[in-house]
Amino acid sequence: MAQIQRNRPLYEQLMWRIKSQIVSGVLIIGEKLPSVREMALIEKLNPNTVAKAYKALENQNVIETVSGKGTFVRATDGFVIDEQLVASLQQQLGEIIIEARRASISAEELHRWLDTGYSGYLNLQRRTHDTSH
Amino acid sequence: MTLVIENISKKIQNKPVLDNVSFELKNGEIVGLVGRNGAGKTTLFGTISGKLLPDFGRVGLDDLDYAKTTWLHDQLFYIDMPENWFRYYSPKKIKSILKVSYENFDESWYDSEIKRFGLNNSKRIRNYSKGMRALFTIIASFASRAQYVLLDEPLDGLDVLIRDQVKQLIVSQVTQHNTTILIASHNLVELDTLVDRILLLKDQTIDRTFTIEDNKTIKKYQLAFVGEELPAFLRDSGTIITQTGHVVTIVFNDFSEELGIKLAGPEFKFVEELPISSEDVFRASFAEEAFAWQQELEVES
Repeated sequence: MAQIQRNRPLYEQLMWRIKSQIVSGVLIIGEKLPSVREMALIEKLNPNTVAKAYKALENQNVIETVSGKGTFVRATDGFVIDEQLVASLQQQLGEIIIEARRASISAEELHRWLDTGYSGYLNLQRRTHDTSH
Repeated sequence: MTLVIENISKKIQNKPVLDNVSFELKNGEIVGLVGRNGAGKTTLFGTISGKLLPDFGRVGLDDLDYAKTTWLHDQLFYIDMPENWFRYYSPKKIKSILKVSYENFDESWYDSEIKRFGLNNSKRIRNYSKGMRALFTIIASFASRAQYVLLDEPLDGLDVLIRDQVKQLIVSQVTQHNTTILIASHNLVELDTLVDRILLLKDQTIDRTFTIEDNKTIKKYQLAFVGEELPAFLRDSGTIITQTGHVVTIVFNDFSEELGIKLAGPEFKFVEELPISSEDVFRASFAEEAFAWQQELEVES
């Protein structure tokens, strides 16, 4: 029996790209994102797809739109911790750990992955600090 | 302000070219008008711009009648493509003409864009290359600062670099001035990154409007079937885009849970859902006809 694989919809792919750019420090807090139409040209997507991604990112407090000014990367500090998100992340990580153990990946190895992932994040912290001056 | 096209009908030499065409354009929208050659795109543009009079119906700005409101005529810019009066004049001369016709004509922007793209200010447009001519047309259209700009195949026959420049110019102008654009084209893929929605002109009328992202029932899959024969239900419920051996790419117009269960069944050894482009939406809406058309276009280009 076939298992249905699902490719992420285009708007989710764009959300993911923007989030990873924020986390890796390519996009800095307070930085202006291209307008929906500009982003559509850059990413070769339909403007509606970009608008949908921006809207979803706004709902997740990742970016904010100031009317008449544009869309900006939002500061991470000071916003309410989304308990649902934390729970869902914990569950996803749990699933990954189960799969990793099945594939005989050691805890040390997994820690290394985490550290690599977080080194980009630490980068971001530093940069944020710089821009606040 | 809204541009209203209301029940427009037009016969040319007793042949109906437009039959009961209605739609509206809101400020800051970019809308694509797609139709096959001869579908009536140019007649529709001519009618909106007031060059042709409709036999029936109304072209209006909000509840005003466009034909009777000459003081608003500088709010709409349309120039025939590819042949028009520009060709006999240089940009310098054209500027002096447009300045008279369009009250808000943006002279400094016009001059700076002509300079930016290195267009020769005293050379007649007919001596320009095709790409330069297209660029010039776009510059002139936006310099008018009309609220509504109609563009007829603005990207037709241009190389990739100029196409990108034209697209960027369109986007930056719409963003800055909230201009409303109606673009006629027979190339869907080209329009995808520009337009908010697409109007399809077919059988003398707007057959339908479609927008990407607001449909939930259209899905696209790539799958590999097990047996020798393509499972029959696929052909009945979807549009097959490609098939190589056992691997099929298919768009379902009206995807249901029932179909999903079938796809998860033993008839398939591989099933993957793919993201949808506006071309797919288009194909799904017009299944066979659109497919034949697309193939025809691919042969042409």
